[in-house]
Amino acid sequence: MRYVVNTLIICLALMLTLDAHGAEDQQNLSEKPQENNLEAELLQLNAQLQLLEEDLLYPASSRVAVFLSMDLGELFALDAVSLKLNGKDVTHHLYTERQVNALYQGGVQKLYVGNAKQGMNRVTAFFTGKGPSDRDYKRAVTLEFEQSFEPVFIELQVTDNTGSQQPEFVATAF
Amino acid sequence: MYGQIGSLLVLCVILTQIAEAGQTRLSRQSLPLHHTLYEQLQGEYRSAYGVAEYYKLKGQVSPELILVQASASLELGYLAHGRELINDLDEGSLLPENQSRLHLYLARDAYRRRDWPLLDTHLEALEQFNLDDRHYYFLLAESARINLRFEAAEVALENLDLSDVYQFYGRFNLASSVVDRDPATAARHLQSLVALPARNLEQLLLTERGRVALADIYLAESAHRSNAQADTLNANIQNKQAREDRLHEDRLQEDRLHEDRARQVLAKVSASYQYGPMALARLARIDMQAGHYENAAAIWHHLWQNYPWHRAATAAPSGLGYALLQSSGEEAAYGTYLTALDTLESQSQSLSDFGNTLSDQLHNPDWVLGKANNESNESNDGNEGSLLLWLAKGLGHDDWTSWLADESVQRSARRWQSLDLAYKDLKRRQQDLSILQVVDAEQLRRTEAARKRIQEDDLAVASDGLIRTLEADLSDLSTRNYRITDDLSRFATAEEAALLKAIDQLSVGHGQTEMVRISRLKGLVTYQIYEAIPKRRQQQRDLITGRLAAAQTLKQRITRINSSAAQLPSSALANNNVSRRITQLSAAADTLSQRTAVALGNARGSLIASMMDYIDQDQRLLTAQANGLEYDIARLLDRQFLAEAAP
Repeated sequence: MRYVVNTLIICLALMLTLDAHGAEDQQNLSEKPQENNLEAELLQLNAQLQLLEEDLLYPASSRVAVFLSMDLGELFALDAVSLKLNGKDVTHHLYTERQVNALYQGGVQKLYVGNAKQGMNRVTAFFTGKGPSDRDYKRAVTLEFEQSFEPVFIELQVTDNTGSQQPEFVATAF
Repeated sequence: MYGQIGSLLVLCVILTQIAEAGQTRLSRQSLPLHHTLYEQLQGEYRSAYGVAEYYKLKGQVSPELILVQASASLELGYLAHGRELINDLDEGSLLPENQSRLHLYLARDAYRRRDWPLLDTHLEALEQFNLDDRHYYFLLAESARINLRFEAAEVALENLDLSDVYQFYGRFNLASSVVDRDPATAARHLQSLVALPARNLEQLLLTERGRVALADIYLAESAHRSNAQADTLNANIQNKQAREDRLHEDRLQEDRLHEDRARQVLAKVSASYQYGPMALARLARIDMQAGHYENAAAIWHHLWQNYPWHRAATAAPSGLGYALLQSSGEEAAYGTYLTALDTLESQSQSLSDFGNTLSDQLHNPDWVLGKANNESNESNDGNEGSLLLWLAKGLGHDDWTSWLADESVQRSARRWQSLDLAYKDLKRRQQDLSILQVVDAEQLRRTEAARKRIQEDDLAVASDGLIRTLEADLSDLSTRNYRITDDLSRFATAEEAALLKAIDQLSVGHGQTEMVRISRLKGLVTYQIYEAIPKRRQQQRDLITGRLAAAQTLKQRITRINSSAAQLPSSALANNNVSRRITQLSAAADTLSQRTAVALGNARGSLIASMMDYIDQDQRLLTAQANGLEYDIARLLDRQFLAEAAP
């Protein structure tokens, strides 16, 4: 009996020791600097590649980039955005809850990058979602812009008009 | 844990940015940060890192952007790289709120690396910010605990919400620190830990860990108290026999009391999680000590049957045998010992076979990857999980989670998988670069062709001529005063022009009277045109202005094509800027690919080593169990022999 009990006590004591260290170990994360660097370098390479791709496929003289942001957004729950450039559908995006939350919190989404002809162009965005009183809501906003030799940046912004208690949709070139 | 700090860093950045900007309109300066935040706030850390890097390459960098990128690095587990990014930051360039976050991160990093003096330095730096932050309070508590200021640690923990996971860690760590010198205080901390509301699995497991540890303290406590009681009795009771009887009785009562308390605590540990077997082993021990051998035998049997590979079941075969010896007699115990021995030998053999297969095959990457892919296809699971599941099955684990939960195995597998993905990604990037090379070559070909066409057709001169003509027309339209006696045909519509032509044809071969009427008709039509001149002149001016703009655009395009073509060496198109970048990136991708392949090999080796190490541990455990059983059998046989030999 003494042998068995002693064995048990030793085993149990070992487990307690393991437990005591467990809490701190839980806080520990492993790291392998060289391998971490490899992965970071891969992401850096990807960024260089993306830049190169953009320079090649969307030259500055014809590049147009459209971004979407939200300010407050309590009066409009965004579901989807469609974008037309010079009457042609160029992109359509359905939003997940996480993406909408990221927009609410100050994030800005790059919605579209493409080429536009020199001179005047027209971009139209269609917003679909739920408006005040949870009603289906669909609105469009149009912006005419001139493409010169510099890239054009357009911001689509959804804001709350607290006066009219309606959402507002604005498109601005910046 | 780092993720939470990272998220807080980001949240702080957003708040301070909004406060700083005082406006919601986007600008080219603020775009990089907000675009990066969009990815980061979604938990898309790779994208966030990449977007930040993209803007850095474009020269659009800010301290806040670096902070977000560092945060993404931490989320991705690139701790050293994240630290480098933060170290390179100029603290003074950050807003005070972000400076406090920076110190908080560095304090957290020091804690993780167990650099206690550095932890204290950053905590001191944080004092000026009056930070109200859960991470800060936890680190304060931990710093105090490490410096043996336990009361200060308790005070710091009081700032944390009761449902905060740090509250759980803080109390457990406090109990661990004092358990040797002050078990009663340790028990108090653990009692408060197990009373906390566990709202997720992490908290539940910490609570269960606390219950097991608390039960151990209760079970160990009786010995301490009994010694103290013995001293008291020595002083009060003079008769030795009476004193020993009383002491024995008190100790028994004391034991029962503590065992009951331990039993109550252990009964609340769920059998579904990893602490269930540990609680069962303790309950069996309590029953053994109390002489409840049938209960103990049932628990040991359950433990051994259901958790054969759990460390808590190590003593189960031996315990079961002894409990049966006491409750059912020698025959039952002997049978159990032999069965257990057979089972252990069989388990040991299967481990050896499996270890041999692994050591033969795991060095063959094709075998490993093939196995992982097959499993992945069958289970639609990730490679890591499937491979480990297969290995766990091979080891004979029904409940393989304990094996899978081994940190070194998981770490190696994660590393292996992550590098494998990185390697495949690099291969794709190399393909992308090849495509870009083709696109670039095609663009260069078109540019060159356009340049030739411009030269051959003399388009630059033609466009200049066109612009001059249009400008002259416009000037004429804008300045000249037309009269009704002028030729107004340039302003006539097609119908009016046709009518005038018909009128002119009528005038041939008619008499004077008819000629007067025809002339009057022509005058009417001409007057109608004259009346419409201002409107039609404006229309023509608009038309010519549009054509002029188009001609100027054409000229600009010709200039641009000429300019970009001029950058091309006439013979070697490949030496332009984009081609050079593609070449450089291809070379970088090749180098990175080679390094990743080496790291992948190392990671695979590390995975194999950790698997073999785990198998070795299991093997040693089985051997120890078998030795224990053989010893038990020998003792039993000795006992039988002595019983038979007795007169």
